[in-house]
Amino acid sequence: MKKLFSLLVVLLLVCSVVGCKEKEAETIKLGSSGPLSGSVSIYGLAVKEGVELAVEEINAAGGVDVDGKMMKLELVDFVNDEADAKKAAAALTSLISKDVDVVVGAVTSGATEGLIAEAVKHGVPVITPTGTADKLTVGDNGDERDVRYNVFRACFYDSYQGKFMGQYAADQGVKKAYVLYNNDEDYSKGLKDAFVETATANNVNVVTAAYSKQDKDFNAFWVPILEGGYDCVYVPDYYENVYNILKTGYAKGYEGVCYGGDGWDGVIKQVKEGEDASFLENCFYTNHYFGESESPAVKTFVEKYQAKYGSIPVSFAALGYDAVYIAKQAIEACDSLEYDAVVEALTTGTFSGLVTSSTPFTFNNGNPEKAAVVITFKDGKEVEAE
Amino acid sequence: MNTLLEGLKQGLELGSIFALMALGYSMVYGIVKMINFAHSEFITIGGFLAYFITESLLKSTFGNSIWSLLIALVAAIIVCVIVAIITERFAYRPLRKKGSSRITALITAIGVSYIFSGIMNAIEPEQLQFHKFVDKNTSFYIAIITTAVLLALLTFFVKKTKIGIAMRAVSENEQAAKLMGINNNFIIALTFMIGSALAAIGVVIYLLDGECFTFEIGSVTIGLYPFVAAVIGGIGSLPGAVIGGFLIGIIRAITQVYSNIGLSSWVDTIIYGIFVIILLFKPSGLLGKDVREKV
Repeated sequence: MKKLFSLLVVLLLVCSVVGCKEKEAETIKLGSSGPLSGSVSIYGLAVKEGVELAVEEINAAGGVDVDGKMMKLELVDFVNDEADAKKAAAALTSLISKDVDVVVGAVTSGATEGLIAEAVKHGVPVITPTGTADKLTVGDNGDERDVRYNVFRACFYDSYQGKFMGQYAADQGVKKAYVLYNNDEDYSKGLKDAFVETATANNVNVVTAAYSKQDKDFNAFWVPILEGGYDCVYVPDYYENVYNILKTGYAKGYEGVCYGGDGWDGVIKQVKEGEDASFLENCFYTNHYFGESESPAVKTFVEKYQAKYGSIPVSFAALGYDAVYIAKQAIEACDSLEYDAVVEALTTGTFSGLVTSSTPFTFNNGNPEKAAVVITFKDGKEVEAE
Repeated sequence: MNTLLEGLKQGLELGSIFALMALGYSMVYGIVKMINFAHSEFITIGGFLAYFITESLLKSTFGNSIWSLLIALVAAIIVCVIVAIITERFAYRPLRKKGSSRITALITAIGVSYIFSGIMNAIEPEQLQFHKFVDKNTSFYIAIITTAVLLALLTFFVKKTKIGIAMRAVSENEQAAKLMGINNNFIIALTFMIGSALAAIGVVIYLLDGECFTFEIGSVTIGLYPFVAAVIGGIGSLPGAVIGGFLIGIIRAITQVYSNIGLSSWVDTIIYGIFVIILLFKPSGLLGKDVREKV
C-alpha cells in the first residue's frame, strides 16, 4: 500500500513537471494594452491591428526560432486601458498573472508611464510601440535608466524629432529660424526645446514665440516673422493649429519653408474642397514612416494590412507591427524566454527589416536610433522629401 | 513702426468684436445684476449656426455672394435670440421669482454655460473653417463700422426711446419700476435678446474672413475677455464696454506682434494686471460713474 502510494506520488510529480515544461514551451506569450474605447481609441485600435497582423504573419511563417525550436506567438490579451495610467498599471498585473513573456504596450504616453511603474517591479521586457514622451525610458530627469532598464520603444521620442529637424534645417542651409510653439502643450514645448538646442549648436540663429490654447487667429503672430525675414519657421503642434498657422502665414506673403513634427499628420485632411493648398509644398514634417514609400518592407506591410483590414495603415499600426518584430528578433538573438536575457538582447542587439526604419538600428537608453522620415506635399498629396 | 501699426490695426478689429460681446455682458449685468456666463455659449451657438448655414447656402443659388453671409447672419441672430429667451425664461426667471440670491443665479449661469458647451462638443468637436467672404483688410473696416453704428443705435435706443427709458428704470430700481407699470420680465427678456443678438453679430464678424474655430470659440478662444472688457469700461456703461473691448483687443494684438521678444506669454498677466489696477482706483470701471446711471 505504502509502495503504491509513493509510486503514485512520484508519477504525479513527474506528470506535473512534464506538464509544466510542456506548458512553458508551447507558445511565446505576448501581452498588450491600449485604449480600445474613448476619445483616443483610434490609436489603440490601430496598434492592435498592427500587432495582430505581425503575430499572424510570424506564425504563418513557422513561428519564432528559440534555440532551434520553432515556437508560435500568442497574443494572450490586449487589455483596454482607456489611455488611463491606473488602468494600464492594472493591465500589466493581469498580464503578468497570465505569464506573458513580452509586453507590447502601452499606446499613449500617460498610460505607458502607469504601466512602466508596475513593469519595473517584475522585470518583464516592455516595448511600447507608440509612447513618445521622453521620460518613459529614462525617467523625469533623464537619470533613471537603471530603474527602467527593461523599457524600450519602437517609435522615436518626442524631442528626437526636434533634434532631427534642427539638424535638417542646418543641413538645408537655414541661417535664421523662427519657432512658433504652443505654450499650453507639453508636446510642443518639448519639440521646441530640442529644435532650438540643436539648431543653435549648428550656428542657426533661432527666435522663439509662444501662443496659447486661446489663439486661433494667427495674423498678428506672423507680423514679426515677416518683418524679420526668416528662412524657416518651425511649428511643433497638432494638425489643427498647424494648418491654421500655415494658411495664415502664406496668405500674408511668407515665402520661406515651414517645418514640423508628427503632430502634423492630418494637416492634409484640413484642406477644404477646392481650396488652393499649394503653400503646403514649402512645408516639411518628420514622421515615423510613410505609407506610400517605395521601400519594399513598407510596401509588403501596406499590402498585407490592406488585404486584412481594407485601409491604409497609419503610423500607429506600423509601429505596433514593428514592436512585435523587435520582440521576435530579440528572442531569437538570445534563444531564451527569460526576462533578463530578452532585456539584455534588446539592449545590445541590432534590429533590421522593420517598416518604420529603413536601416538597421540599436537601442540607446531604450530609444531606437533610427532616422525620421521627412514628408512634404505635392499636388495635394503627401510625398517623401529627399 | 510697421509692426506697431499692424498690431494696432489688428487690435482695433479684435477690440470691436470684444466690444460687441462686452455690450451683452454689460447690459445684462446692469439690469439684473447677474453675470450671464452663458453669454459665451451664445457666441458659440451663433458661430456654429452661421457656419452650417453658409456651408449649405454655398451649394445653393446664392453661392459665394454676400447674400449667403447676410442670411446666415440673420439666422444666427434669430436663433441666438431664441436661445437667450429660453435660457432667461427657464433658467433665470424662476430663480428671480423665488427671490433667490445673486450667487444662486450666478451658479445657474455657469451650469447653463456647461450644458450648452456639452451639446456643442457632442455636435462637432473638430476644427471648422468658416468660408472666406472678405479679406482681412475689409473685415477690419466692417468690424469698426459695425461697432460704431451699433453703439450709436444702442445709445439712442437706451436714452431716447420709451423702452430704453423703461430699461434704465428697471436697472435703477426694479420695485419702483414695477409700481410705475413697467413689465419687468419683458424688459429683462429684451435685454437678454439684445445682448445675444450682439454676440451673434460679433462672432460672425470675427469669422467672416475665413477664420478657423472649434466648439470652444466662445468659452476658450474668446473666453472671458469681453466680460473683463465690460468690467474695465464700467459695467452698465455702453461706451465703457466698447472702450474696454478696444483696450483688451489692442493689448492682445500688441503682445502678439511682439511675440518674438516673448511678450505673448505675458498677455494675461498684462490684461489682468491692468484690470486689477483700474478696479483699485475706479471700482466701478473707467466710465461707470454713478450706480444710478446704469443700464
